[in-house]
Amino acid sequence: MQVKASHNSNCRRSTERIVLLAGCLLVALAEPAQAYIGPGAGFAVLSSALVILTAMLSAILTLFTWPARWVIRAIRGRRAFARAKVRRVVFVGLDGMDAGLVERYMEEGRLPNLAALRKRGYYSRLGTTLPAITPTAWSSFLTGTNPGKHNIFDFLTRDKRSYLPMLSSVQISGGRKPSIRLLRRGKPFWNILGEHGIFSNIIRVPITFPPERFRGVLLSAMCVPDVRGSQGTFSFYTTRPRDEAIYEGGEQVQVTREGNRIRSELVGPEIERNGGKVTLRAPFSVDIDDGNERATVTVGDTSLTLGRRQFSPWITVTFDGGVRRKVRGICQFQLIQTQPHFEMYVSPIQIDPENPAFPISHPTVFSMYLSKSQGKFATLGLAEDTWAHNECILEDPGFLHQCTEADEERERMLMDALDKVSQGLVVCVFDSTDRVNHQYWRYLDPRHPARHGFGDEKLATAIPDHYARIDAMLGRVLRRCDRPDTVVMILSDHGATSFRRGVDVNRWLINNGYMALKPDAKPGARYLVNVDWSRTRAYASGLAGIYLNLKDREGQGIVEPGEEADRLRDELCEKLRGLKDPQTGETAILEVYNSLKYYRGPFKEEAPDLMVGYNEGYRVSWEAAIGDITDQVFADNHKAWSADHCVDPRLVPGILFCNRKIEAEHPRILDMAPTTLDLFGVDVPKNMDGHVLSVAVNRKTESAD
Amino acid sequence: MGVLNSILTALFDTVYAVLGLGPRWLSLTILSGVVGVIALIVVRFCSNQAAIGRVKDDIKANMLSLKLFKDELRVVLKAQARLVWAGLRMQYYMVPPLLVMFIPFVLVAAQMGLRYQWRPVETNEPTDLTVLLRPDVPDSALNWVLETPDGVEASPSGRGVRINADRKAVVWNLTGRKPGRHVLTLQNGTESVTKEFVVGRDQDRVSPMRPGPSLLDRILYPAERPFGSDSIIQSIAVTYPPRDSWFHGADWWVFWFLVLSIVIALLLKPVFGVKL
Repeated sequence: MQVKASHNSNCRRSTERIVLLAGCLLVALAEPAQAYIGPGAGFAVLSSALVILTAMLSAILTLFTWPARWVIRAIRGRRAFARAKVRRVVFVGLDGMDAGLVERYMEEGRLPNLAALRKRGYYSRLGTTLPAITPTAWSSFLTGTNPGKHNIFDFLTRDKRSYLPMLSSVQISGGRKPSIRLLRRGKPFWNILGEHGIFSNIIRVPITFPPERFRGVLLSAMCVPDVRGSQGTFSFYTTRPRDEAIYEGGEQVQVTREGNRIRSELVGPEIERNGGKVTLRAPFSVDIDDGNERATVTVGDTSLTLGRRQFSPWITVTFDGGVRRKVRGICQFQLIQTQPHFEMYVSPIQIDPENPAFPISHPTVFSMYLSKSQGKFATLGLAEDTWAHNECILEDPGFLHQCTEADEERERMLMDALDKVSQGLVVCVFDSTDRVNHQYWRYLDPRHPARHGFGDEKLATAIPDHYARIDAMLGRVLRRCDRPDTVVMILSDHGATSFRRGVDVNRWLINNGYMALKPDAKPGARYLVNVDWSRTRAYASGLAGIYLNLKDREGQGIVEPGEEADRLRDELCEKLRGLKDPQTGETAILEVYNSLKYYRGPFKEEAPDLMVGYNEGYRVSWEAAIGDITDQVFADNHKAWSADHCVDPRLVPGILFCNRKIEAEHPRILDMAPTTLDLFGVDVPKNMDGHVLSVAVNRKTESAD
Repeated sequence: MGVLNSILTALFDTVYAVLGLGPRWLSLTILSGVVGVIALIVVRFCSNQAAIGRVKDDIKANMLSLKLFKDELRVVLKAQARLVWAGLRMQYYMVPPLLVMFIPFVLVAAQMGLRYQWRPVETNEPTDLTVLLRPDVPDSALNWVLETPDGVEASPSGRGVRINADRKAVVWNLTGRKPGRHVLTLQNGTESVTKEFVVGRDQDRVSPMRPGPSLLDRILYPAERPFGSDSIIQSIAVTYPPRDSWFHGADWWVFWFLVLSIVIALLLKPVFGVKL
């Protein structure tokens, strides 16, 4: 031991001598050789010295100009916070967090933070929108209006001329410089706050793509595409013969193993070149170690080794389209197995937040800032790959990994926002609660057809466990927000319920004489291409509703607007209301809503003519949603996607918690915008449909109560 | 040091035999580029690139933070403090490559100095030769005799002017009559030493000083074999005129060498995958 100690001591002394000698040499030679040390010193000193100098100058400038800037803002009339009741409002959105489950888990003691919040503040079920789906509900949240004013009625709408489905909230047209247009109407309430000088930090609120200009920062969410322009296309690389599987929402790439190496390409965006379209590709290789069930993936300069079922971190991929046409994306790899067949999952290649191909944030540098300060993060609108899970490419644990990773990324962003915004608005939406409901509800429902068949039962408690994780995260957020001038609201846009049976509404319309197929109809054809429009009076498209084939509105409309159309609407409502499933004897459709009567506003005629309110356990079938017409009206749902909320909104309310008392018995999601404006002392615009909720703003008074 | 200098001088003489065929600005640019690339490689392998990457991300994040949250005074001041801290961390991470590069680059720069800082004297252009002696030598040690080769004239011929004040030195005026690399011989009794003297060939490198035992002189004047520590001579120096050019002339060349090598390195850093 002594010898070792002595050796260590000698080593230390030697190191010290070397450092000392180097230091002396530097000092001794400094003056005459100062010009001779060249780039070494240049690199070391110039860059960092410039940073320090810039920071110091900027600090001095900030301090000296602060009073002047304060005066200028005051003179400009931005009397921000002049009438404000609070300094900061924080919304934590938990997409799809179900009220029934939350209440049950609170009673069971699984959600201690939410239970405590209910006790000291406020809790209520939150009224959602018709339809109770994410894009519609969050659009109502941010505009404070009913869908008739913000124009978002579904994920999808249809092209009136061709009947083809298209995204409801954004229109992306190709070309050398793609044009992206937001189809949501109405003004987000943070824009109104900004006009009154109040800063907002908005993170991943759905239907905020493309990002709009306002006073604040915003990271877009739902409908942000991947680098291919799709809403998320995963890739599955395998040595299996190609015809063994076809996947929804992804593609299979058959690869060939040469010894222990596989070479293939990642598929990137399509660009125009020399008058034609070219798909950009990025090569990668995999070196397989069968003995240890590992593989080393090499993409560009990055090389990393993955074990079986292990996910990689975000990897940057560069697609080279020529000079000034490089497109950068990020993706994750998961090695599924090396034997008997090699199988690897690659997530949709998402827009690199550090070098976005087009803006995904406002200002554009905000996504760069987040990436630099916190590392790469998922940017795709629907970041969690439900399609790959449905297709059993991702197993239950793999999908859950994606959910929890997205949550961790989001929590870091939220914490940073809370650190950065001491007064103003912070909104952050977590999606994983919705995804976990969708994909693991089958473990909660013993009658679900897909209860078995997706991995083992180890994740039977995935939903309660995930809700508990979210509760713990909320605990951290609430502690960070524990200031007397901060109001925290935790809400979900809707809940969820089991999706056991799908309803092919188009088949029902055919069976009841409202729709006709072409004589040469091909089985499995999508997008309603088999429909004989000259004999069709109504059709279903998307998740939410039914459209009339209205003359002068639809491409080949035959129903006369006015009396005939009104009669048809009433007739369909009457016949579909209370529709029973002959196999189970259950009522599949509780209510059918006539949009013209239900919505108010300039865009109500853009809605599906009828909105279908399904009962618990039912939803529009997968096939009907994409215009593929099957042979039977009712069919079991065998996908991992086992819960949904495209049902009667009364069945799937959201949740609302607040750290203050609120006087409201039936709050609705569209009340959030006017309530926030009121908290900041800003007049509520007349076109908002929501009401101002009475929030207790003085915590001392509240405690005394 | 002497061996290393001999090798480096021979190497640079060979390199300049080629580079000297072109204009001097070109040789300076090429050498700056080569040095920049070598510096990049040194930084790549001798620094903690991952840590530098993190610091750079930190710097960019805080810079962006200043822009994005400019109205939050607390955030702005915090970002500025973090920038200062990141700058210091960056300097810390650059110390290892700096230590590795320091000595080699000083040696390289010293070789370049012989070629860009001074020029040979022109034919018939007068200059001085100074022999600097140890201060403790007796007066008899000042009796040095200069033997000039054909093409070089010394004044006074033979023994030089002796200076015996605060330092002990012997000085001659020299005039080159023929262009060429001449060898001057100095004798004092049985002791004989030499010093090279370059006349009239503009592209040639010069050796302003044959150094003594001083480490600094040995580094900065590497062309001739230095005197040992037992020698009574501290140095023999020829006063060469400075080169006159705003780019590759005296003093300027160092500036442009520094700028060009850094700029070229910065331009090429993506090629070498180096984080700076």
